[in-house]
Amino acid sequence: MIKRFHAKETLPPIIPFLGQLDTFAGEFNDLYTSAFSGVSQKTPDRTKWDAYLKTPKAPAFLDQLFQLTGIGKIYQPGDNRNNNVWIENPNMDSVTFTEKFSPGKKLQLGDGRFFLTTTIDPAFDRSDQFEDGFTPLYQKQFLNYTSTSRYMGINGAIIDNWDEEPDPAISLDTDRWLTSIPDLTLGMTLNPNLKVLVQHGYYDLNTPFHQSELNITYAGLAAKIPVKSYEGGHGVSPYGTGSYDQVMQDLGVFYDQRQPKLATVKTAQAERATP
Amino acid sequence: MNMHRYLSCVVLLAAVMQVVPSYANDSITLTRPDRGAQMRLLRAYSPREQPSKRQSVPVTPQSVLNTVDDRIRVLFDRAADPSTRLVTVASANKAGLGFFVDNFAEMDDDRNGSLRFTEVKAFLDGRSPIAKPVVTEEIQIIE
Repeated sequence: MIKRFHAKETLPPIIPFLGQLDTFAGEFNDLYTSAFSGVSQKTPDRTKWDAYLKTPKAPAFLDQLFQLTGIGKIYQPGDNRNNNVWIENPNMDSVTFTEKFSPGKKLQLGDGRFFLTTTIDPAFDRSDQFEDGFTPLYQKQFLNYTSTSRYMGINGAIIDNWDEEPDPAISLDTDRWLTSIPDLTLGMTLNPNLKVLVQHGYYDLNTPFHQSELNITYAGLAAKIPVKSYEGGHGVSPYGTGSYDQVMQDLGVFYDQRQPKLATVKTAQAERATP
Repeated sequence: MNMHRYLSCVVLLAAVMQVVPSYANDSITLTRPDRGAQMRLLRAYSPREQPSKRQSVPVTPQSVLNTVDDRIRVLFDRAADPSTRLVTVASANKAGLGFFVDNFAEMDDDRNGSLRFTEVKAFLDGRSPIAKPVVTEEIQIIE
């Protein structure tokens, strides 16, 4: 999606393009399981991946990774892990993607439509100062409120203190870092009236939209939890989302809907599949 | 238009078009935060500096239900009286788990005033948003 955005001259219509991506993501995930899950393990095991690279299908798969991401190059016979990034590791993580996408520049992790203009990505910024001064100004001048306490701003330090596995009594065979589906499912079990709507930005590399679609579908929750994605980044904010009216419209429908009717809401994938 | 009416109009227009407030403190300049500030506000979390090397477990209805069961077990153990390993209204209250108190009567299937894990699990299984995977069992032919 990010390569599509930056290569504006060849911008294909988004819906059929998303359909192509769905298909390729299915192929990618199948190959992850059968061929390259070992490559990104702590102690890498490349046996299956190296065997796959010798098959006739491998060049087309590598080229598709290049064409969809814009990173790397067209496969040439004799290429190896030193000169073809996709041979080295087809399962590139999002942080590496932000670094390799454009030489000399780095994408924002939260919104791949934009390059970083500072040295620190906002997603990694641990600073607490509220740089734009808007809130203190607003409080003082508009609310007539002042405080002698130090204003903590966005409290970036919490990132290093956050514990995703707070309960040692729970055996975490599913990594809480990778998915919150079990916790969400428990929440919906304890409170069956809980309504959930997931809204994503297409260009968010921090929490990619398609993984939510897949996990919710694989868990058997697609009829209960609609996933909606928009032309935006992390948090689908009013500032940077192209179709923000649609965001609000979907929220309005969601708030008005009674729980049982959620089963009839079309998921994003189902909507794309509908001609 | 005579001079008097012209001057009146000018004065009125000047009054209507005046945008400067009487006191500087009455105004505030609202500016849109820069993109960096927006993204910091919106961040849900940040990936670790080094990507996770853990191998993901495939998400399936059964794998999710298994992990939910783990969490239900933890909640039950917390709410239970340590001496009997059963949940009573008093033990759940003491543990601060109001869920068991609020739903006690519905869960207490045998109406004996205490909850076994099987009773809690049966109650929560009935409320799960994930349908139980259908297990096809071979038909036993008893001769």
